[in-house]
Amino acid sequence: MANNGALQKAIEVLEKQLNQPLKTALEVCARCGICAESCHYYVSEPKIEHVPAYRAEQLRKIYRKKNNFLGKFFPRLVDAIDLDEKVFDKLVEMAFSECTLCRSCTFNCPLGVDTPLVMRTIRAMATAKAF
Amino acid sequence: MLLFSKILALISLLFFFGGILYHYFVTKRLKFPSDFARPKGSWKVGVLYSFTLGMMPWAKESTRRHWIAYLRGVAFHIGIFSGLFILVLSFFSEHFNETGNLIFALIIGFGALMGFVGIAMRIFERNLREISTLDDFISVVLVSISLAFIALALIEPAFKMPMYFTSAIMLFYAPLGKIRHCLYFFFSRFFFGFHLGKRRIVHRFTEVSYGK
Repeated sequence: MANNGALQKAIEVLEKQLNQPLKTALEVCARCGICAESCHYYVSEPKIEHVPAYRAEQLRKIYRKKNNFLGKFFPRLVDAIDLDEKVFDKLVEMAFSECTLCRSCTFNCPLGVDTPLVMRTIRAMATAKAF
Repeated sequence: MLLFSKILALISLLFFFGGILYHYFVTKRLKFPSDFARPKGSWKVGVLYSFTLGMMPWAKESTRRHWIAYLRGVAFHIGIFSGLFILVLSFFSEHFNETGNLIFALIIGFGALMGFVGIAMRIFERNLREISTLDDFISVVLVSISLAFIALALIEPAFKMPMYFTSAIMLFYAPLGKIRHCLYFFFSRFFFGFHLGKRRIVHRFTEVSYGK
């Protein structure tokens, strides 16, 4: 289980990795849900956790809490949350075992949202937390 | 009161552009990561594809399968851009050509209708309901109501005051909420096209080799 220091380390990795493409991927999604059927996980098991927009949304909630006006002052409007152990474990499980980074969702997204980049960031956060 | 609402809408419009510019510079200030892989093609070809043929409904499996949902979104956004154009124009000119008024009223009114359909979809479709935030609903509601009043004001000038008030609220909210994806859309499609071109996934004049 993650502790507070480790969680802080994970957050630092997110801040450190925040470059132009990552910020774009975290900001641009319109949540239209059209990406769902482009994911082979969703096709084989159609549940909400396998919708790429839902997956990326799990990190966006944490990002918004620190980097977004509404997320800071009106968190309920944008579902902004703080990173805790439970959320982090769920994030890690999702990024490592429910996404193959194939970019099919990116190709099928009208906006070109780079969800695999978001998943890679979660993987980097998990790796940093482990050391 | 009309003058007051007009000034309010103008201030909100300036706030909107200021907010979008702020987000632009905050994003541009961040690092653009280096790609160490040797370039195989031109990023310019990829970016050109990303903003043109890559946006067509037949270019993606998702939009080929869900073309009605995609066209709804297209109609909604055409309505938004037309509405913004008419709103900005209304600050400078009081009277338009009557036929032009009717055509724009139909385009913008249809856009508003498609916005309300979008709200219904978010309520009734399970996946959409699960991934939607309150911000999504507020944004689409504000834009749709604003478009509806812009369309009505083109037919009946008595609707100008509510048009300016609703547009002022919408434009003020835009840089704070989800509507700012209007800026990030350009970043996102650029990065998408950049990699497609550089790695020669998209060839000159659109031959796409993804998956081959």
